[in-house]
Amino acid sequence: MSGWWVGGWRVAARLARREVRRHLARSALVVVIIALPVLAAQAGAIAYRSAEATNAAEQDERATFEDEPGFIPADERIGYDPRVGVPEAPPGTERVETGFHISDWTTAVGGRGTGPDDLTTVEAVGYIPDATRLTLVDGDLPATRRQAVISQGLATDTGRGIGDRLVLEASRVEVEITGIGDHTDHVAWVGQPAGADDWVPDTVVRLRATGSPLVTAELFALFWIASDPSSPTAPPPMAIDGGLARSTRADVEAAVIGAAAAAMVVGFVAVTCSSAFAIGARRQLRQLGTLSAAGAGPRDLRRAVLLQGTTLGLAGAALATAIVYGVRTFVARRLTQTEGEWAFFRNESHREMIVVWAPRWVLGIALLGLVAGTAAAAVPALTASRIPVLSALAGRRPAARRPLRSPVLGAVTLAGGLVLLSWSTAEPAGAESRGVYAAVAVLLTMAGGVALAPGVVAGVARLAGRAGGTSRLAGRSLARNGMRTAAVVASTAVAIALPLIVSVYGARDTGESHLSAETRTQREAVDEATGLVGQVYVSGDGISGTAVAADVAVEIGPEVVVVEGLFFGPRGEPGDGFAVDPEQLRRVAGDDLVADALADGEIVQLERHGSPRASYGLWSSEARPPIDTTGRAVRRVRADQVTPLALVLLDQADVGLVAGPLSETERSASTGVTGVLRPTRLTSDEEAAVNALRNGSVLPSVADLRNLRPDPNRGSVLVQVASVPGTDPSYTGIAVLGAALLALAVIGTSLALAAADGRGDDLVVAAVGAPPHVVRHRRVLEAAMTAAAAAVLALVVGVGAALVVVHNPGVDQPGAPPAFRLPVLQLLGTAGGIVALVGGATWLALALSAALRSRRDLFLVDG
Amino acid sequence: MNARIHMTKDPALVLEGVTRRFEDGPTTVTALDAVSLSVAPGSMCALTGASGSGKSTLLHLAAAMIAPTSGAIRVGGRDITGLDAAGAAALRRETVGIVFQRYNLIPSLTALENVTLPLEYAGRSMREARALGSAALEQVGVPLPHDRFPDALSGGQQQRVAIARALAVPRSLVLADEPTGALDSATGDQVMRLLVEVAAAGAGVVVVTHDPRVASFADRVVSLRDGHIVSDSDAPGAVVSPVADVAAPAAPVAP
Repeated sequence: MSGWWVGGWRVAARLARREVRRHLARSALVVVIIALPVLAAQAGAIAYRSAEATNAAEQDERATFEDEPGFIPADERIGYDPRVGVPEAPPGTERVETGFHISDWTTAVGGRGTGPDDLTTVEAVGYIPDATRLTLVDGDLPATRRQAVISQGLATDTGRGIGDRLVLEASRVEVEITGIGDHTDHVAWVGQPAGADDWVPDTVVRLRATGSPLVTAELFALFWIASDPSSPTAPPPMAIDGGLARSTRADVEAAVIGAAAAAMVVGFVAVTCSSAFAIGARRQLRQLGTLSAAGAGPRDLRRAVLLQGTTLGLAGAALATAIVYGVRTFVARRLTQTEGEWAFFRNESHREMIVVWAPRWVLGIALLGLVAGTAAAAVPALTASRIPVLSALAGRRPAARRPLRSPVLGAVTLAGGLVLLSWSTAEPAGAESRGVYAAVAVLLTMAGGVALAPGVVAGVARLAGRAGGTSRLAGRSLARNGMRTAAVVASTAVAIALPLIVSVYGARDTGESHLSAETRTQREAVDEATGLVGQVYVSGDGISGTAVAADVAVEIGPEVVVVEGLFFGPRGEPGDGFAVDPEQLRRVAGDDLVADALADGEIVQLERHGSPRASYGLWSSEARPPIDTTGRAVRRVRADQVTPLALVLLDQADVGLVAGPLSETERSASTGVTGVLRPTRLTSDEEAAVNALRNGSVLPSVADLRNLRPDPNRGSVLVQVASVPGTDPSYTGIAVLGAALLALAVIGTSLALAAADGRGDDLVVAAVGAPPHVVRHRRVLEAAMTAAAAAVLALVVGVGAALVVVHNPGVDQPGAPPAFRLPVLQLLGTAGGIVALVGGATWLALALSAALRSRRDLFLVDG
Repeated sequence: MNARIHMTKDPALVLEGVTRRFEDGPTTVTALDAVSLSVAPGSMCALTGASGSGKSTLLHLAAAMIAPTSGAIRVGGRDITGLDAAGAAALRRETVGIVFQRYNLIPSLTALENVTLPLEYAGRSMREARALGSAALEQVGVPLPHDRFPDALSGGQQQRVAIARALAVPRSLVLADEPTGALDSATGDQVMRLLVEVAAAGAGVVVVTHDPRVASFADRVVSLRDGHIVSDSDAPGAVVSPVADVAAPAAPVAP
């Protein structure tokens, strides 16, 4: 039995080798078709892993503090006591500020350290959050992981206080509130036990000194940094500005993308090459019949065809791996990252990009190629082994069975895949477990698309049949070999779907950028209204991309406003401060410190992040200092809110005014006269700029607006713009080019192989008097129709799947960002462009081939 | 010839009331109708008849390439009527050798490799298979080197290779379907003499032919028409006309 088994494989291997060598051109083409997607996937994996490594190294270097007097030197890491787990400040430090790096959770899960002694930085570092400065206002510091001090902002918004329980937003951990901190952001400091056993230092901890006596080493120990979400004893991560949720969603998307890429490689190769192997198996029918007549069983026949796929799959995978290794070696020492721009030169002043080899990924993808090649030959092998011996000897295929109702099956499978995809990519919790489902969903979606392909082909053929002439010939030719054409359509659809999906994701990213820009601006406008200015805007000359929001500062000339109040600066100079009733201010700003610090005649400058932001003062009419009244108040509102400013005069004549949105001023003022200030008429340029900002279009001439001078007799508009980066067209362009090349390769292979089958038809067509170009036009139309069918399938399946993922609710925002617009024209243009490219390239290739043939004939005649 | 023959006392081939029908769309074609035939080991039987008479169908039934609609078939005493695909392949691997009109050699395999195919499928080691294959090629008169590809051989040599493949494994039955159809008469005679030697060595040989010259090499001539045996003669050298209903001398139809 074993000898029989070995003998069978030996014959199959020999036949596979010989067959590959005999049809070298076809074999080379199949190898290229297998190698291309494998190469693309391997290159993508290397680029992804290299970017991760480079970013991690870059962040690590960047994450240092400036070397200033009184500060810990930037490059000095704090000594780490593994028993306690608390970094100690060096002796003699005057100012202590706490700071720590919160890792980018996208990579922290996969790249953290392994133990207390391992202070390896995470691969990417996020921002230093504002939550570092803990000043306990009330209650006690937390002692366990299930206790927390919460900020005032969080307490106010949630209505919780000391003794209450609260579920942290991102981690879903319930904590007991032990104290209130003075921070206004939504932050919770969760306690940590003094024991170091659970301390998992996956972040680099650095200390910066600040003057608060409350910030000590012991206090710092209570800053709990989450590290290992999979550990049952590790604390869940802290909710900080949604960074965790954003990264977790990125994990899910990475899993989906990875699974989809793997499925695409295998599916694309299998579906594409199966038609080549099917045609090859048909060519070998008589040979297979002979084998059967000589005693080969069905298993031996399957092996004979299957091993051809394995051989070519191995060759394709090896070719792709060799190319990617060579390219990687070549660029590794020549690629330099310069502020995000890469240049092919070594520049000592810039970071050299780390180019990793990622062997597991590369070899794993190569294995996929091998599997794909084998899978491609599976169905032809099965079919060949079932053909009756006599039919095979006569070179006849048995009549094809009526295909199942594959379009219905395809629609059902596709719908199931999209539903599973929607579920697996929604609410990204437990990304690792959902990744498997996402991968299954991608496979189901692709399978559904493949099953839909015959229906699409039939539809295209029917349409072509109505056209008549060469179109009808082409359409019927495609439909006659329906399953083979469907395989080509399905694999081409995979290629075309890639740039379409990139476009949808690009629109999603643009929408998210718009959303964050608008959100930031809005929040700042509210902050402005309450007197707490804290944000820096992008100035006009820093605009790139599309301006989506603007903050308009209206300078009010003193002659315009007649108020019973005084504008003053910190030391009695013209400035941007104004006096206000502290009680009113407290209700508006919620800042107790200001109210507590105010005394009669005293001016307090409120700082935020160490910078002076606003000044407040209170005085009685008797003690009014001499103030220059030409000062101005700057108030920023959204561009679409350039409405009359509402000013409220409080009922105390010797108290100044507070300026803000009408809703805020109504809230802050109880009684008094309400006056309305209207800015004077804008110039045409200013009005155009404001309209442009409202419409979200790019400012035509921002430079002009920067030179605005305040006119005491009118209100003028100073525009500062928050912009979002434009969409980088290079990614889409590369995807389109790659898709077009793949589509050409797949369709070209199929047409070339099918041409041999169709030679009889060509002769008949010529015999009935059709002009010579009919044959060429038929081939071009076949190629274009195939590509068109594939484009339709790609639009339905690819864009549908992308929309499902984009519209899933994340933690940051529900569903797709409000500014998301499906780029319909771009999608149709991309698909149509690829179809035109395939048709044009086919025409060109056939025309060249005909020209060369006639030239050869000329030579023969001459000599 | 030092033939590799599987000697058996049982008839090499027995058909008992074998019927074979083919569905051709709405119509049913009866290629063989209750045919009974017995071929003794060590004899050559020629099957003659016009196109569509059923002679090739009978051969294919004997090779288990198709199954009978009814009746029973035994090869070397073994019932092969209900064999599945694997069983049929095993039969062709171990018991029945087939020679085709168009040789049906694998073009990507050398002459020797074509011959060793059934040996390798039967589980012989490479060395053993090559030795046996070379011996078979020498027996049929294929000159060295044996590692030439079929397209480098003449038609007669290719047919000899095909015969060698049929003889590489000891057979009790050798079937030849128009073995000289693609050859000139001189080469055809050589091939037929080879088959006569195979029969003389103890195998049962069944040759399908429409050529009376080929039929003349046989010990026995069986004529078919419309799926029936219309004549059966074991007279050696009798000339049978393909259009005649009965070969001379006439003999009763075998039950």
